Amino acid sequence: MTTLATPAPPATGRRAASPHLLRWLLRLHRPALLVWVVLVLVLVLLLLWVGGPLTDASAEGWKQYNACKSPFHCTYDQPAIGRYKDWYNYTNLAVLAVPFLVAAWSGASLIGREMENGTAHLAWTQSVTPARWLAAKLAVPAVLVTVGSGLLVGLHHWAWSRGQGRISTAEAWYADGTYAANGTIIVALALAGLVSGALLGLVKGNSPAALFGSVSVTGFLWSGVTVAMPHLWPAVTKVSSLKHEGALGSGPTLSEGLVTSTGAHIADPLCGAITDDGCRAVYTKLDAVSYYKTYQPESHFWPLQLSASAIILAVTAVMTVAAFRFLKRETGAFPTRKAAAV
Amino acid sequence: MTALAPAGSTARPQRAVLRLHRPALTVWGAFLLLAVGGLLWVHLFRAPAARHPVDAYFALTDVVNVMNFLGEVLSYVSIAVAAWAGAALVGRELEDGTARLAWTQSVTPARWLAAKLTAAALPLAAGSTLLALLFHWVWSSDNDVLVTNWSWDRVLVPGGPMSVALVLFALAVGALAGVALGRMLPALVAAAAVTYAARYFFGRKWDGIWPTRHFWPVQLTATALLLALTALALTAAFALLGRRTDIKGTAV
Repeated sequence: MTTLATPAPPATGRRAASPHLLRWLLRLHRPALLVWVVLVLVLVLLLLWVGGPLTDASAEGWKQYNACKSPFHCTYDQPAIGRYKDWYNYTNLAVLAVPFLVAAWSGASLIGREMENGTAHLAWTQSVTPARWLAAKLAVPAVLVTVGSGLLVGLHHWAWSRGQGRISTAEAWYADGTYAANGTIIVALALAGLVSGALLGLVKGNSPAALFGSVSVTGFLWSGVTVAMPHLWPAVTKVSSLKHEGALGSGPTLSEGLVTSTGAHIADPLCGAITDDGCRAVYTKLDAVSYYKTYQPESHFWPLQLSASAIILAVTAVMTVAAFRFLKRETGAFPTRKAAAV
Repeated sequence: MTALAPAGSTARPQRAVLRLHRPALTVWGAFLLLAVGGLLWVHLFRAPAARHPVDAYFALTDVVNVMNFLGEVLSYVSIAVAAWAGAALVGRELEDGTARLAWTQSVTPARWLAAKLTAAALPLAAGSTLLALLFHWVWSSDNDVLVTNWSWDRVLVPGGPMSVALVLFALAVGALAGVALGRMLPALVAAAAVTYAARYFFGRKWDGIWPTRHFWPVQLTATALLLALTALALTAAFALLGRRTDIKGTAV
């Protein structure tokens, strides 16, 4: 406690405190760091396994199945197909769980404990200003979370793409879980979870409210961008011939139906191809000339991902500002502490 | 702070527990209302509509989808209970020291834990019994319009006494994890993981163990086994708490 008395030299003190702060942060949260590293490593290995051997075995099984003359007397590697499907789902769920784990940890352990047991206040007397203390507490985990979740998302995308066109039951790019885990949304959500946990930890202290609150904020953000997903980029309208069974184009759909000779969009009676005489009569009566579908094609994957991530990161930025302002207001109320801290 | 005086504190720790966890009680009550409302909506409106279809098929109101969704949600209630019990009911107070304060107020550690568990067990058991009865009734009386099978985990778990046993098991596991780990987050993770494993085993694998498969034998044996495991977890929690607090010193 002798350091309390020595006034730290302002300029050099700050620069010297920087690595010190980092080492102290990493030591304080060593169990969490260890869990994170192990989690990322295990998931990296699992994703490599799913994208490599499991995908190849399943694709081989599908090749055997498609070569069958009759589906009743057919030998193909059914367990391999099932194993790929199961492990793809497990690893997908694990990647999706990452933002929630980060949010839970941040809400429970990152800030609240130190606010409550007083080590935060002690730190602020040790030539670390409250603002720098919070900045370090957010920046170091943010880097680790971004690197780790970015790696997982990249590998998930790779593992998923290896099955496309080779495994008939592989997930489509816009299936909810696959879509989120294949791009930057998960990284942005993990950062949002981190910051919401820190903000709630500051406001609510070490409490279940901060823990469950930050998990809820993360879940709310995810549901928000999932529901808004088809609207986050200008959609494409594809017009296709009535000779098809239905409107062409696959992806998240905003609207679909029939186009009349005047160009109006009307509902599709779901009759089928115009080659059927009954359907021809139906389409003639409706004055329909083609199908239309307004949807997001696969080429919009990255624009959609990036705009959803931008929204999440904007909310994250607002929460970050709120956290710093809250801390400033709290610590500003005690001029002596402020004087000691600067 | 007058309640610190010993005269006032011999009162009921249960009431204090209820006051402390009023938000959780509100969430549980709101959840029960929503679930009961959903099940009644299925029985009174969606199932009759499916018998006499007038409106077009709509995925969000289709009776099969709604019932599947309700079954799925109800079958995972125990995980949320375990997470809450581990983190909020027990782990938190051991972490920040309010438990130790309570033990100096003429409440022994064992009574403290017993009060918490009974105060939580009563609303949880009552609520999940209500949900199980209602789910089973709706499921069996609307079976003609449901594409379903009793052995699916989203029917087997919420539609019988197993769901009550699973919730009580979750509470006991949460208490044990809270006492053993003494911190919110590790207790939450451990309790939720163990309960998930139990839900997975009894929901998906248990009926496969039986040579002749029927709803009630599977339900009742799973319930009995889960209650036995609950008793085991509770015994372990109290034993561990007793050893941790070393009784004589602070507790009495």
